Amino acid sequence: MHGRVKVRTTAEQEALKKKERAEKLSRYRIGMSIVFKKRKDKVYDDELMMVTERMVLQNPDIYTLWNIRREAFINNDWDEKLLEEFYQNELRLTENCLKQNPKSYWVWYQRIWITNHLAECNWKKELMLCTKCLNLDDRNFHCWNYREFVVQKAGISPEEEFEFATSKILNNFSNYSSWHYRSLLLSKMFHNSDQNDIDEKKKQELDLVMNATFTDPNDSSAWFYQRWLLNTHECLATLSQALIKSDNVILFANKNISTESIYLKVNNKNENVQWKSLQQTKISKLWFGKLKKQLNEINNVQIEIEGTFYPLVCINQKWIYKKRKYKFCSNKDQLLEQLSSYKQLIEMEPNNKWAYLTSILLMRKIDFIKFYENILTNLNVLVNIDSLRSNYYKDLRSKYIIEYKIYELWNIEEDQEIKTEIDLSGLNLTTLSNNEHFSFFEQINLSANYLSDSLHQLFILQSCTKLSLSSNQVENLKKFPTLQNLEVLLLRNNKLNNLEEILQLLTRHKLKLLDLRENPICNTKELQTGIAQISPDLQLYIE
Amino acid sequence: MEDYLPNEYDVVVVGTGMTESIVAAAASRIGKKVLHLDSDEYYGGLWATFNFDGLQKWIEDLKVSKTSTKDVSEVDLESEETFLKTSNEYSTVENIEETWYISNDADLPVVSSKDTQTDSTGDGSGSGDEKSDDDKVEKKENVKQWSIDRIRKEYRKFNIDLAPKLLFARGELVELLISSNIARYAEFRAVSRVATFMDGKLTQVPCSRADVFANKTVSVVEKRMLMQLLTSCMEQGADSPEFDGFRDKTFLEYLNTKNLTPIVQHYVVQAIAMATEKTSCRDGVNRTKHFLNSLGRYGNTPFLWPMYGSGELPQCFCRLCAVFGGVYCLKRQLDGVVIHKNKCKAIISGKQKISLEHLVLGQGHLPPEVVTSEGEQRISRGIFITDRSIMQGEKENLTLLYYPPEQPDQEPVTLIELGPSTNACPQGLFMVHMTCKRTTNAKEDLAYVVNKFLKAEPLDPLAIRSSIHSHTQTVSPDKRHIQEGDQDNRGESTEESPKPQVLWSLYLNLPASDIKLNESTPSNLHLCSGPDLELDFDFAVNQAKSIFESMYPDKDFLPRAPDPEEIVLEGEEAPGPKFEGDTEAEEKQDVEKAEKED
Amino acid sequence: MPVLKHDIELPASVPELLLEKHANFLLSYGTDKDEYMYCMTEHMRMSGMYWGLTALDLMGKLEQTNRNEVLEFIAQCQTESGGIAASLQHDPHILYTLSAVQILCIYNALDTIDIEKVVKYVKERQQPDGSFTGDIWGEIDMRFSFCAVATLSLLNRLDVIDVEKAVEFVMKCMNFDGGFGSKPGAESHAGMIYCSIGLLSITGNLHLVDADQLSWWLCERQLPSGGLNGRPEKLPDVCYSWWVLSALTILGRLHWVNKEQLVKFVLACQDTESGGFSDRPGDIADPFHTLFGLTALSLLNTDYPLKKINPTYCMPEYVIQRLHLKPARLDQSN
Repeated sequence: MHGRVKVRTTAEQEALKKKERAEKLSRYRIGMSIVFKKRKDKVYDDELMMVTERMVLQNPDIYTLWNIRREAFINNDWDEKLLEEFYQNELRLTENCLKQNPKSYWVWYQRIWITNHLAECNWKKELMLCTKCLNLDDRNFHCWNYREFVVQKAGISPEEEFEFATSKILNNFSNYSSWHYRSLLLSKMFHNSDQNDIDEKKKQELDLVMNATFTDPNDSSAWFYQRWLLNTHECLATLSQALIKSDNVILFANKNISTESIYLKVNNKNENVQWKSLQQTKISKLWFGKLKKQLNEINNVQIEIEGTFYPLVCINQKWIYKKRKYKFCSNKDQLLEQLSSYKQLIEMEPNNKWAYLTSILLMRKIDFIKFYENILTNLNVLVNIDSLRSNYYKDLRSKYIIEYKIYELWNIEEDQEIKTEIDLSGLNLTTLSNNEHFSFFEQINLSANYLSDSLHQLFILQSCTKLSLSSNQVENLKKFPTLQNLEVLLLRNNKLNNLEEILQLLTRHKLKLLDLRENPICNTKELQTGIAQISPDLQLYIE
Repeated sequence: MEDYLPNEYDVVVVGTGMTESIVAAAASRIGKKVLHLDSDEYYGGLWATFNFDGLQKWIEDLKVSKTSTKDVSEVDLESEETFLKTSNEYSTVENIEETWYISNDADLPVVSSKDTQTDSTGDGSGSGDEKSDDDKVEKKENVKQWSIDRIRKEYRKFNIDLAPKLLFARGELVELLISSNIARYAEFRAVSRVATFMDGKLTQVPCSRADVFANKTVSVVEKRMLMQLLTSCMEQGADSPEFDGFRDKTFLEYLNTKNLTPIVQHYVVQAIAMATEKTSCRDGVNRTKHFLNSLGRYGNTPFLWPMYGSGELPQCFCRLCAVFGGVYCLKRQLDGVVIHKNKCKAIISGKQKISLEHLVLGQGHLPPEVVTSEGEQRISRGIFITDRSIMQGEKENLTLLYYPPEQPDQEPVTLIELGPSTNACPQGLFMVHMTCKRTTNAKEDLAYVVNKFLKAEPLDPLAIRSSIHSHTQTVSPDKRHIQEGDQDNRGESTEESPKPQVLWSLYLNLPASDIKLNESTPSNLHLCSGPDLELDFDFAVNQAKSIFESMYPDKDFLPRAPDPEEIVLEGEEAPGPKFEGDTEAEEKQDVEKAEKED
Repeated sequence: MPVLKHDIELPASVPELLLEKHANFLLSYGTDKDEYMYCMTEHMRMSGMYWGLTALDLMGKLEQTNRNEVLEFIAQCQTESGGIAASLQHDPHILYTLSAVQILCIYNALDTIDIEKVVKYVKERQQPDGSFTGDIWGEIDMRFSFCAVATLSLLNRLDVIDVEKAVEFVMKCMNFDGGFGSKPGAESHAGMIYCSIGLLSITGNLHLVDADQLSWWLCERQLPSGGLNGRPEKLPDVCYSWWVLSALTILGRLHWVNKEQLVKFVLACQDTESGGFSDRPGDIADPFHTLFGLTALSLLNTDYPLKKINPTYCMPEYVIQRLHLKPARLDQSN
């Protein structure tokens, strides 16, 4: 049972308790049998109401009793006035139950049911009840949910509720529920606002939340809210990159889109493309298609996503589109100022992980490329000071490193070319982080990393022909996905020792070259013969 | 005719001041036979609270000497017994000066107060304007000029303390009230704000986390500084290595090494630690810790105010004493004590000689023979009825201000302002209590603070002030803004607001609380001091504890008293260890509540 | 100014896993039918039985349970509506319908009840907006969505409801922190996140969540004591070890929590005298926390002799495989 402290009791107390319990139990049994009998006989009388009332006060979670009471409200022969009286009584009853057990789902719902049945509900009173209840426990989500219900019924505007949310925060900012409620109201308010208003409001919120984080940097509530504020909230889907090579089309957008919103126009005509996503899902960021036209028939290509047209350019027998700019942020000055404040916070609280994490988020938003090194330094600190979550920070570091390396690649790329080769070796990567750009590369060097537990993520390497996973401490290949274009696979210096897995891998791929040097498996006698049976033409390196 | 009292007691307590009453309750609670006397007809002695009429009577009575006229010859002594006459000279109140600043005329023109808000810039949130029209209408009807007659007529609505004190929410007295289950006799109100004087104006001190969060006068980095300093004082305590280098240094010297901004330093020194330049580092840290420990238990400041005045509290202990069989007798004069072989053997009261094991005497009942020093910590007091708060705005119902001296020859003054819903005065009025260590006399000692914050000149009946009723607590805290508060709603300023007009004032000097007995005093004679200079009751509680311990070293000091319904009369089932479980549960609730509250 | 603290101190010594005691605790739970706690929890009996039986199965003790008695009881709890009640004479509810179906799957005895009627009952619970009510009285909650989808998928009858709408409703419950609440606008809660992620896992829609954002929130539930809480600034509780871990497992990010510390916390919540797990060290043990203590240990892949648990269904993996169900997980590529 939640939060009940086990106390050793004396024999005497035990006996007394036993007696009390036996009495309570027999009262419960007698009560239940009366109630069930009356229900069976459809007798919805005062006694039924009285007995059930007494019993739900004892234990409000006996849901069937509430059901029976509702049946009584529906099946009674009370006149309107009496019914209204019973409804009012039910409001009092639920309030009393909530006083004892403010976290009973059933009681809160009974109240909703009653208020929905009242001829005229005093929503103001209900709102007061919520306020009172939240003063007692401002984390009670049942009560917050009920408030949300009342607010909708009473037609209270998000702006009005925002005042309430502010008062709750002022009263106690270490209150995740209040911050959550705030985010909810703001999202509603943003719905009808223009971007300038939204930006302005967000600026204010960033300042407010900074006050909380400086007053008590160890309380996590405000930091979550801050992270939300620092997230970019993009509403419109935009094309990030697209490539048409021979008959293959790959594209990815900044957010999930469905095939219905993608049009491929070749020579100004919509092309009928069968789009496929990686997991056969209906919406995805990343889409693959087959083009039925020959490249030499094409004069121009455009991709249309949710009404916006993106022209592709032709280069080296490929049609490509790429968006190559980091986003502009509207409140750079404020963010820089906050960054410097958080630097001071780090000096004052050198073990506070949140200050480091927020600095990272700020730097990433202000200028990822410029602050790249600082971001990595902060992440290394976090791995140490928040060791419970060190793997999270390592994965986050991998994600940023990959993003940065891809950015570097863009700088080497000639004007409009898309590079098909990337070297990510020796970067201590622990994850591939699902970066859609990977689907465009044909030659990928992931050697000397820590990707042994991330093989399932290789699924995104849809164009890959040559892949190196050497020196990754790979122990098994169970989760190695099927990559249809893969020809060369380098697995040198790993810990592979299962022949079955390797043979299984070969049957799924048409490999030309496989490097297995420096793996325990190399000592297995059946290795070469086994492989030769499946892939006789394979170039195999084992020593 | 005096009541006849039984002749033998374990403990006789004379005087119903705070310490005396606690000792009486503690002794009675463990089954000792207690007689509790007071020569006055009211409880509390110098700790008493009076309504306006009662205060006037008290002032009158001071002019009449109550010293015993009994002579040794009248006392029936046995061999080797000596008689020491008691004296009230150690509870002498001096320099009483009562002044009216308003007229006696009850027929002054009625003023309508339309401008309830206009003269206050302090109420920065501006949301005060949202008061409903109903409110305003009612107010108009209510507005009537205050006159001497009217104040006298409404005398019952005043509760005036001779020695106003606050309770730290986790101070000795609160813990004692809870642990002894005496709290149920008393009612409290949380002090709504702690103020400080900074940069020429009064500001509310951010003392809770919520206050620090919402404060707009300090930067975020300063907020962290403040919170960090407070947390380190609270969590580490004065014995922490953090303060090793400052054992013989002042608190200020310690703070100077922390690179605090002046504003943060001000908050900590003047408002939270209530320290001066001379306060040692150790004291400063401990005072800060004390303050902070008490925060968040019952509200946004660490202090509680006893409803109906501090004088209520001794009575709570007397009630407990009586419940456990203590005998009470007011208006009963102690004439002297009988000493036998360096032991206090009995007291003489009227015609009776009452024998005892222990004698507990309030300082107004000491035989001069046992006193070696009259003490130095004498007290200057000022009591003022005013028409508005010294710092207008929200939360103005209960304000604490510590005001450090401006000149080397001045003493720091503690100011407590009692407003609406404290029951200290009728709606619309404020009562200001000032207390400091006496150097000359009360009026002179307090003059610099009175001049700073009050307008203590006779009110010209023609220049009628219009907003007597202006600022009652009508701004709900829910209406506070942090974002767009047009002005600084936390640091309320009084710059442009008129000072409160004093309607009535009373100055007085109370005797010293650090009176000392000489070494030959019988060991079963125990001295209870009068009110001390500190803000809280810790001194009295600790003194009572140590008296009790010296009387009954092996007994529990005020263990939890059962609730009335728990008391089982003889013959019924004995009250078993049942409550112990309850106490635990209560404590747990307490902790949970505290956790929730901040 | 109380220092905010939302964690506990672990006792100095942490016991080994006391499987024998836990088995005995569960087997004897409710054998004395007069036992007070047992009777006073009648209104959730069906779920109680599911907790106990699943835990016993994980420990390899299923054959020591009274299969026939349980099956008979479940059959009696199915009502005319098709829904299943918590206990005899109580009303049917989707919570207990799922519990009953789960038990029947574990016993491989689905024919005990009228499956078509269950399917009908669950189907009738779906609302136009895709959400599900718990019973005929109209309460709506994310838990009920999960119960409906899990029940139907266990019966291989997901086709009778509008899955797309059901998913749409789940996505309406997503919050600023990437988590999910019990209904649109409700605060994120690890239990509700389990329900949402479970539903998305069953219906193959995990790509709809920002796994990085949500998993970060989930791994932030781990406190210095090693235990997990269900919401920020709350105390740790063994049951969240399950709800948080199962969601993280489905999202392929189980390694974001510290396993050693968590195992230590879970083990510390054992009642070393009477067996069973409690929410926190020193509290009273019960079947609910006993199941979730064991499932957490099972998910953490420790070397304890426990059967593997399926993170989506909270049922032994072998049962899920026997039913040929393949709920999606992000750490599996296809």
